[in-house]
Amino acid sequence: MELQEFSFGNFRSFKEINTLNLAAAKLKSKYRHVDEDNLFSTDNSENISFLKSKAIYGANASGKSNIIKALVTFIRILKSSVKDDKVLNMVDSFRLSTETENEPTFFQIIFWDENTKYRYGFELDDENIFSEWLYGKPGKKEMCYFIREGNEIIELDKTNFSEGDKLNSLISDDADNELFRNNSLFLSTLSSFGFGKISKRILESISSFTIISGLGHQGMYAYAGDSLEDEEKKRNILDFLKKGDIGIEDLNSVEISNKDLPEDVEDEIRKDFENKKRKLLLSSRKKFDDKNNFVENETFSFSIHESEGTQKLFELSPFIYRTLKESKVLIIDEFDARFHPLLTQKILELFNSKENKGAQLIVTTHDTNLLSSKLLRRDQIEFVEKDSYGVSHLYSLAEFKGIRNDASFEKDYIHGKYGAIPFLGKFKNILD
Amino acid sequence: MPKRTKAIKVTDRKKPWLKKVKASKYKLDTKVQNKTILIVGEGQTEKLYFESFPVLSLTVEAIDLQGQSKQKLIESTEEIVKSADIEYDAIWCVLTWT
Repeated sequence: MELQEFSFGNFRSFKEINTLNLAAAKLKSKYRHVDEDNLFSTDNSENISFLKSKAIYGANASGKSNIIKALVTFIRILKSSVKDDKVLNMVDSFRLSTETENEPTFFQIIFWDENTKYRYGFELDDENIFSEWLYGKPGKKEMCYFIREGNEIIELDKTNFSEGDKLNSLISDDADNELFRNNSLFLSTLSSFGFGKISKRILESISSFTIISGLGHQGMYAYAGDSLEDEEKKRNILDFLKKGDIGIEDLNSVEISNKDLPEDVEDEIRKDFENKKRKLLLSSRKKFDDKNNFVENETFSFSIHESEGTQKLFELSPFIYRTLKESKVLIIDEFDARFHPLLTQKILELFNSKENKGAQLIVTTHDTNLLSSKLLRRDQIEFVEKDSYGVSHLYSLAEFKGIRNDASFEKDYIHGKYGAIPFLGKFKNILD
Repeated sequence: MPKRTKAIKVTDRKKPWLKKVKASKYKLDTKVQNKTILIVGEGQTEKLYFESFPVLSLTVEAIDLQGQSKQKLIESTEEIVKSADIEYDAIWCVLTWT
């Protein structure tokens, strides 16, 4: 699966339709290795090369995270609109204009699966799905598989998308119309039937995107903890942590119950362990004597003793590993939070490397160290800026005129040549 | 036989599925970069005045001439330009005659 682009409009701070483009532009960088390594191509009919990574920059409150939220919303609705009728609450229009506040939100994705190009999208508000469409391009021509308007399928390709026809006839037989609600997606419903082969593949492709926050959360921590039980995954996590120069020798997760707690433990903590076992992560580090000879491994409670950076690397490592191994899409909000710039650079380089055959990384970041022509092509750098009407705009560094090949993207960005930096007042005045 | 046409019906133009039919292409070399401007003046008044404009790519410096000639302001500006890590697109010196 290759992601070509994701478009979203009238969503939070984005008023018009904006597109996050993962196709490569026809441009040449200063360094040949960057052009050769940072892209990958497939046998697709349009000769498109895809970007292995994309970095999004912008001031605080510019709308960077809303791009990620748009993706999260799109995927979550696709995955759960059938069983969860509250999921549409995630939809939020651009509310700073009377023109758009009561209009539907637009989402559309273009991606490739086994060299067939798909264009799938829908328009909705927080209660209703107004329209939904799927186009496929297995050969030279794009074909309309289905269009849904309101609660009706108004166009359907019975030859190339016969599964849609099967469901449609089920719906017409279904007097109560329980199969087709105004707040569930036709594609999601279809994919839940055994005959919904194409729709199932599409749903699985899009659902395979991993979206995580660089700030971390409980779920990620637990997932990484569970990964330790799999020998291969554990080896990769440890390998990753060692490469991150963190000095951890081993990681283990142990189950503890109420009885294992020391006697002097506070009641509050003891309560937490009542009737259930808890997982505790232990890390081992080398201990030395006064002559700096290795004595033994000392064990620490991972969540209490290890640094924020170590914990984040631990949380991220299984996701990075899985994405690279299975050539999937990984999206990280606040990529540089709590990381040393060299570490973010290494992770970016890992995705841009020759060895990566088709995984794609999208990050939002403030880390200007990555703005280097040695690391990224101009089409891999994206900016978000909010205008004076509160509207966010997404644009690429590749769109700028007259950027010299040897220009320092970082310095030029910091000096405001590309916009998308904060306009800061004089903080000194606070002290006057 | 009527001629086959790919044109989109006027009434269909605003249909959501027709809002973005084509994949995006980068509009290469179309956006103009902000000009970086350096303004050098001889006092805090000028600095405060120019810095209050909401221009992202503006740098304002104040040089205390300590009673030296105006020529010193030009020389100081040249030094700032030389030691800067970027190339300014426009450089201004603000002189005050009394």
